[in-house]
Formats: sequence, C-alpha cells, structure tokens
Amino acid sequence: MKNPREALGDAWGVPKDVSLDLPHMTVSGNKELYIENYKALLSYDSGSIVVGSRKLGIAVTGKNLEIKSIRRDDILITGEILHIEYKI
Amino acid sequence: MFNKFFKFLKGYVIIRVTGSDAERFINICVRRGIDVGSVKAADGAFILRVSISDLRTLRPIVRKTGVKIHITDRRGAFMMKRLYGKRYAFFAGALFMIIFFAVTAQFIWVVEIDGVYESSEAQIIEILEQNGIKPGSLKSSLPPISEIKNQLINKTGTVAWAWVYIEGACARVEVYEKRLKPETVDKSQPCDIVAACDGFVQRIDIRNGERVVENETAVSAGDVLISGTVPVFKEGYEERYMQVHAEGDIEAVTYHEKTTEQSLYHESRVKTGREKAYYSLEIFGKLFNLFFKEEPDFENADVSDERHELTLPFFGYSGLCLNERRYSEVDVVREPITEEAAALIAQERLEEEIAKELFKNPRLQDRELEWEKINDDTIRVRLKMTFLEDIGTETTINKE
Repeated sequence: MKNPREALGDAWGVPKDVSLDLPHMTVSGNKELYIENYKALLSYDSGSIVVGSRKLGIAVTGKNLEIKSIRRDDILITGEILHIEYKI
Repeated sequence: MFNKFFKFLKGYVIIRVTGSDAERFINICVRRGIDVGSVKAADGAFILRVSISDLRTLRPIVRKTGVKIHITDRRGAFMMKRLYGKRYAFFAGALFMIIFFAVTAQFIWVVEIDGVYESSEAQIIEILEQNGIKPGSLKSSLPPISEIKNQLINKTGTVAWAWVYIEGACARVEVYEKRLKPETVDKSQPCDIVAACDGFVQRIDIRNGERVVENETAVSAGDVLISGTVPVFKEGYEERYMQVHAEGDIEAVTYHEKTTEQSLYHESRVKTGREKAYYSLEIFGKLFNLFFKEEPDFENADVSDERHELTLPFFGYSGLCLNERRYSEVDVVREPITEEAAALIAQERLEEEIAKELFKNPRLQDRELEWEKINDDTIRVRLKMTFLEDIGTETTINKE
C-alpha cells in the first residue's frame, strides 16, 4: 500500500524526492557524486562516506574520496567512486 | 572560478580536526551556516577549509563536540597582505611594471609583414610608414585600417587584399597578392621558330609559317626551323613575301651530358648531447646580445633558433622577446660507400641540373651513367641523357 504522501504526490505529479523528502543524487561517471536534500554526514574516511537523509542512508565507497563542498542541503563528493549503497 | 576568487579575497584557513566526533563537528558547522569545504580525511583526522571570518564561531562547536582543531595553513589576500604588506619596494616595482606595460602597449614596436612574394616589400613598408605603421608610433593615432588597406591595394597594384592586425605591441600586416595573368603571345608579331639547342629533328608539325628543315635532320642552336617569311607568289611572277607569326611543334632528339665529382664517403651528423644556448633580448624591435662571444667550442654543430615572446593578459605582445640560439654539437661520421652507391647519389644531383636545361614536353629516351675513379676518395661521374623534346623557340623577325 502506498504512503498517503506518495499517493498524493503521484496524483499531483509531484516528483518523489519532493513528495517523500528523498535525497536527489547526481552522479558524474565514477568521479563525482552530488547529493541534494541530505540531512547529516554520518561517517567519513578516505575510503567511505556515509550520508544520512530522512529515510535512507547512502554509503559511498571508493578511493581518495573528498568532500569538495558541504552545505546545509547539498554535498559534493569527489574521488574514485566504486560503490553506492542504500541503507534502509 | 569567481567563487574561488572571492574566497581568496576573504581569506581562509586550513584546519585539522581530530576527535571522535569530527563528523558531528562538520554537521554543526554546516547547520550554523559556516562555509566548510575541501574536506579530506587523513590519518584519522579531517583537514578542511574554513573562512577566516568563521574561525571565531568554531570555538563553541569545538567545545560542544570535544574535537581538537589545529590551524595548519592560512591563505588568501589577507595573508598576502600580512606577508607582503611592508614590502613597499616590491609593490612599487610591480606598480611600475604594470604602468610601464600599460604605456608601452599603446605603441607599435614590431611590424610583421606576411604574404609578400612578388610585390615590392620596400614599397609596402613605405606605404605602411606613411600611415603610421612603424615601430614607435602610437596605436591610437593610426588612421582607419580600411584606409591603409585601400592604399596598399591602389598604390602597389599587385595586392588584392591586405589588413593590419594590431596584436599588443605588434602590427601584423597580412597581404594577399593578385594572381597575375599568364603572358599571352602576341600573334600579330611576325617571328621565326629557331632551334634553342643542338639536336636531331625527327618531326615538325607546322601550324603557321614555312618549313625550313626537313624531318630527320641534325640542327644546331640558332638554326631556323620554321620561317615566318612565307612566299606568296606563283611561279614566273614577281617574288613577294609576307611575314607571319610562325607556329608549330618540333620533336627533336637532344643530348645532355653533365659531369661531377662524388666522394666515396657518406657523411652523417650524430648529436653528441652537448648543447650550448645563447640568448639575445629583443626590446621594442631592438636586438641586444646577452653574450659577448657567441661561438661555442664545438668543432661541428647544428644551429636552431627559437623566439620566446612575452605576452601579457589584456595587453598582448609586450614588445619584449627572448631569442634563443641553440648549438648542438654533432660528430660528423664518415662511412665508406661503394662506387655504385656514390654514382647513384651523384646521378640524382646531375639529373636535377639537366632538368633545368630542358625545353617543352621533354620525354626521356635513354640514360647512361658512367664513372671513373680519380683517387681513393673520389670518383668522377658522367651522366648522358637523351630526350625527345620541343626545341623550338620564337625569335622576332628583323623586318629589314
């Protein structure tokens, strides 16, 4: 069964990231990951970054990962990204 | 780009954050609107960039999260001012250089002319100088370029299009010349066809004029082959002649022979790796050698020249140029070659020389190469070539 927010959003044609407050991610090859609508940085080292959003955790693993910029609503991760995993 | 520039202007510090709650520290910083960036993880610590103005606001967050921060570097205009603030001479020099280049960039110091092959370069230079395109003239005082273009086209007569590009202190003149029409033969002018060189005439096809030489006849240079004086009378009547522009194709066998001497050694140049560079400074078109003596102590050397022009942003070519002349030492290695190989090398040279002597439509019939040894090092090579070619050349008839 659909979440009422999701159902309402679908009825009005609202994108899921808006209706469900999900993170929106833009990946450029394996070099750059741009996450919007995240909530907090949960853990970070050069091999992995875990970013938390309202419902999901996003774990990024790779090599030489760097947080190029971090702001209230978006975070830009660069480096050699090998793996992106959702943690529900 | 602009973001980086403004960050540089504001100034920033690189801090090293250590502690178990380093991620929490970053989260709180972000939530409090502190500009954090370039976060790197290294040896259990985070290295990140924070603007100088936000540095004070970090203290309560540090206390709250229990992390330790350590400033590793300070960067930006603020730091530059702190480092160089009292170096008045440095700033005065920098200011002087900017003013110097700003002023000198207002003048033309070098004039380059491209595309002149047939036209008179001296005339083009003169026209350009009359219009102020010369070293030392003020760029703002130049007449419109289209006017200079018109003068170049009208006064020279051989230029189809031209334009002056002002690139910093350099005026580059691009010239496109007219393609001149091929010379047309004036067929109203009476002429004979004479032999341009000795040969054995095989065939003559006459289009206009009177045959003088029969086929299969040997001729010498200067012999009339087709006469432009044509008889126009019947037998028994008064002799009358008219003069015409003789025309025809002559096919004659010609013999060409050339001799040269050729070494029995082939010389190759192998770089030893030793090099020496001499520099000269070109300041506003004047050349100043930076070395008194420009002769390397190499027995044999290859020379190469290179220009390094100083081009400044906004100003373009500054009028300053460093010329480099590089001498690379070479060993000349002499290797003996066979007489046949030496003869073939000489043959190539002799063929080029003979090719310069040929007339119209030459066709090679025979080639004979022979050589004799003069001494241990040299041979004398003789090349005989037989061609079938048109040896006829027009000669104006003397009307007397």
